[in-house]
Amino acid sequence: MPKITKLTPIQIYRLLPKTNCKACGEESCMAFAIKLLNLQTSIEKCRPLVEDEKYRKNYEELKRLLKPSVREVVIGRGEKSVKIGGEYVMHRHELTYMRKTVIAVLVEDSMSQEVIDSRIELIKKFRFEYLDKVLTLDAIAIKFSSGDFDRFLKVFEYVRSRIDKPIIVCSLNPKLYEKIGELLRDERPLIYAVTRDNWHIMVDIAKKFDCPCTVMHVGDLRTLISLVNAVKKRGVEDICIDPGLIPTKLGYSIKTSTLLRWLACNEEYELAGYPIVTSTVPVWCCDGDYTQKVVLESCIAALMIIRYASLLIMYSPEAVTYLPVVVLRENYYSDPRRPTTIQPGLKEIGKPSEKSPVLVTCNYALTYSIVTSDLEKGKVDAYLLVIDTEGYAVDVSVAADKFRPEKIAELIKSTGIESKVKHRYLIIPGKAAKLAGSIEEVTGWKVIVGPVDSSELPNFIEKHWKKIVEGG
Amino acid sequence: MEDRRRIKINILDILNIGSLICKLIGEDFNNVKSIELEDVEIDLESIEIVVKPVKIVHRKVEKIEKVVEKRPETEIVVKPEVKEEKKVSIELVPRLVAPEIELVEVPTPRLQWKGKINTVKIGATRSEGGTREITYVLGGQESPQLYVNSTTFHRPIISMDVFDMKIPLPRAVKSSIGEDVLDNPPEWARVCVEKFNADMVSLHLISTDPKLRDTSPKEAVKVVEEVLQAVKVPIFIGGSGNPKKDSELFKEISERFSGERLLLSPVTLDMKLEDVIPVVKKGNHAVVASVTMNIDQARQLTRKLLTWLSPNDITIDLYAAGIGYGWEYSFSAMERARLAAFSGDSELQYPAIGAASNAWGAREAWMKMDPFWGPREIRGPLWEIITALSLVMVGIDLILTLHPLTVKVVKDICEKLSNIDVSDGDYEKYLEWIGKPISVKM
Repeated sequence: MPKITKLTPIQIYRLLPKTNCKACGEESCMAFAIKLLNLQTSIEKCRPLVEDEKYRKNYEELKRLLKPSVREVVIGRGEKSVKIGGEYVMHRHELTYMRKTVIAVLVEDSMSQEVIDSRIELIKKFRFEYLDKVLTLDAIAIKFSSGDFDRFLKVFEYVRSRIDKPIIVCSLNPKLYEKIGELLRDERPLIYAVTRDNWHIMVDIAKKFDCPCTVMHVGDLRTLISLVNAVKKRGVEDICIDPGLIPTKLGYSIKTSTLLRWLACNEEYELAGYPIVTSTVPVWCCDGDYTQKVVLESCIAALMIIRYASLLIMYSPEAVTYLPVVVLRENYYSDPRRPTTIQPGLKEIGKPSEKSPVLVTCNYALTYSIVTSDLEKGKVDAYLLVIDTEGYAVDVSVAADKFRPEKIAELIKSTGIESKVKHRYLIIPGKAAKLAGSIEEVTGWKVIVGPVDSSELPNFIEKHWKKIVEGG
Repeated sequence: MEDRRRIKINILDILNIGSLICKLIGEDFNNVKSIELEDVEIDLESIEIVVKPVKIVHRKVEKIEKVVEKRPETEIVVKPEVKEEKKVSIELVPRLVAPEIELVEVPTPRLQWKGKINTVKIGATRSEGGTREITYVLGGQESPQLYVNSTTFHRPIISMDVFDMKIPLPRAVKSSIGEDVLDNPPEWARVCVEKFNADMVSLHLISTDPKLRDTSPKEAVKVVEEVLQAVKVPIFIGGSGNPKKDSELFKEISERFSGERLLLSPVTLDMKLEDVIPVVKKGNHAVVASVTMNIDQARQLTRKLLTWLSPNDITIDLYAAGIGYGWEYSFSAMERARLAAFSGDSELQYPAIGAASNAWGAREAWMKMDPFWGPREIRGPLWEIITALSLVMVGIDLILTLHPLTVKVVKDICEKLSNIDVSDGDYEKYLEWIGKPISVKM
């Protein structure tokens, strides 16, 4: 089977109805083919293909061609569910990564109520604004530590009544799963984990309650893969793999997950084609003080995200452990084929007043974050007009005619900036200097050409702004 | 680990070998009674040295720990009464006998690399024409970092940044390094090496920037001289980024410190290379070919540099962005460059440099935020650490850092990453978390 990166739109198009019926929302079957190949739509949007018996073979063939190398596994049910895996490539520049690593926070049924509450609180409170997204923690793992099934049941009920996230059940004891059977059916949690010792009972539980399960084996890949094979042969499809995280032997863990991904993506080896689940909890079994573990878990989580973990089970009670990890994850899973953009509009930096400067920039996310960071660092209060340059940086958008004065004028009207400031001055980027005249003409505002490098903005504003506003 | 360090030791220095090893290994060996120097080549025969535990105190780091410890809401109490309540406790991991599984054959990956990274030596000992006591060899690896078929971990060299004038630095950085050394470059360099265990020092002569002090090259070399006196490790020299001024600066430095094998950065496409590089070559220094995440430009630049330099004089810096601030672009650029190099693209087969210190540009690293997000004394270094680790994973050979904690943690993680073999089975205790309650000492 050819790799998706080696397929052409024609190969896809040939299998479509070629009627240009537009039911999928695209102008033509060819356009739909291109979108399919770019993984920007799903085959099922082509209703005739799915419904009409005569296309059955083509439909199956398309599904085969576009099948991910790493199986997509759903954890949870309905609104609460989350998908992991579904990956096609080893390196993000080959195409794009699909499903960002899910981060689960662990609670134990032996924890006191306050501690369990504080973990739930951590997940709920963890909402970090980054560009125009809100980064969150995605799941909760409940571990059987008490040795008391009833207690586990109570904690499980308690947790799921208080938090709307998919659940992972951590226990090697099959009896526990049998005990909570109906909850498994309701919640469809990820079972963690199936091992060489319990697999023969666990496969039946996974099948009976239709739950995804994690196959774990540490120390040798052959046994791990053989175990996956055994589980699969018994009819379980939704499998995840955990090659084990050994904090002192990270080289092993990293290399093993890399090898799994390679075999899945480049050797079509199906037994390796399951999402990787990693628990960084072993960090808390290491020597070292509390702060060291807070830092270490963050580090290992980041390393495992870079090397193919689809789901992380983490333990740290500190938000700081997760913060750089979720930012890295957001970056890593961003689509390299498209520039990261932010929503155009008016952004407030600091606490701007009617005398504060109004600046203009593009909506390329990187430019935006550098400009805002520079302004914040310089403690500048300002309004920032972010115009839609289709994600191009300032220099490129000026050259490609995407930095349009008309868009600035529209934004001035739609954002009501005219009533927010008393002056009529716009500071534009130094790299857009040649547009100064036309911007003045179209907007009616006076244009000040700012520095080329936004790190000079605070100085520039301090030096010139007061003079300009008071003088003008 | 690969053999990457060479140390020259006089017979008299043998008396000080303990302190030398302190420098090499860092303060994390308090509990270590004996150290085998496997990756160190010493002029003597392979020896095992017994050193007494030496405690190097990280004043500011301890302070951070206290900040975190104070937070009350993080207290974890595993209530003992749970177990007392229950007379018959159920086994968390029951002893089960599962049927034997059929063993399947895992395919051997069909992957062979065609290229390897050139080696670039930095620093020169007295016998080699310099004054360094330690030198490093960058590069030499034959596959991507911890990849499908790698058998070794490629350990990067960790450098700490020193600036030749007082510049605005994040508070977490200032307080951890010590305010008193920040306007004293040789002293700053000395604490980086001796106290914070940096492998080398990256001295940034930013005062030469025409927009700052516009220090003359003649003036700037004095600081270089002082730093070379203060530490015995190889030195990376950073210019101001002004191509004209840097050209003058590099020429002056190359001549003045001929034979030292300094690493000069940045060498860019907008420099008059024919003017500068022959002088650099004459002084036997190495350069950092710098571009901004553009692989084609990197090729173009290294190709040009070969007019005057040998492949063993060139390193590449594609620009390392901090997480959250374009990290994905630079990570992918570096990854693509490396894959191309190992696939046979000779124009990219150079050791790579990355400044994790760029991470401090992120507001999350320096800004005061809601206490929920942790004190910036820990959030800041963590930002740099994670950025540095991503560079480790992409196989960068020399990583520049700003915060002492970054050096400490990254070195520690590298140690853990270098353990690939698990055949000794010594890991069981890390798997026990699933079978018993986790106890966290606060």
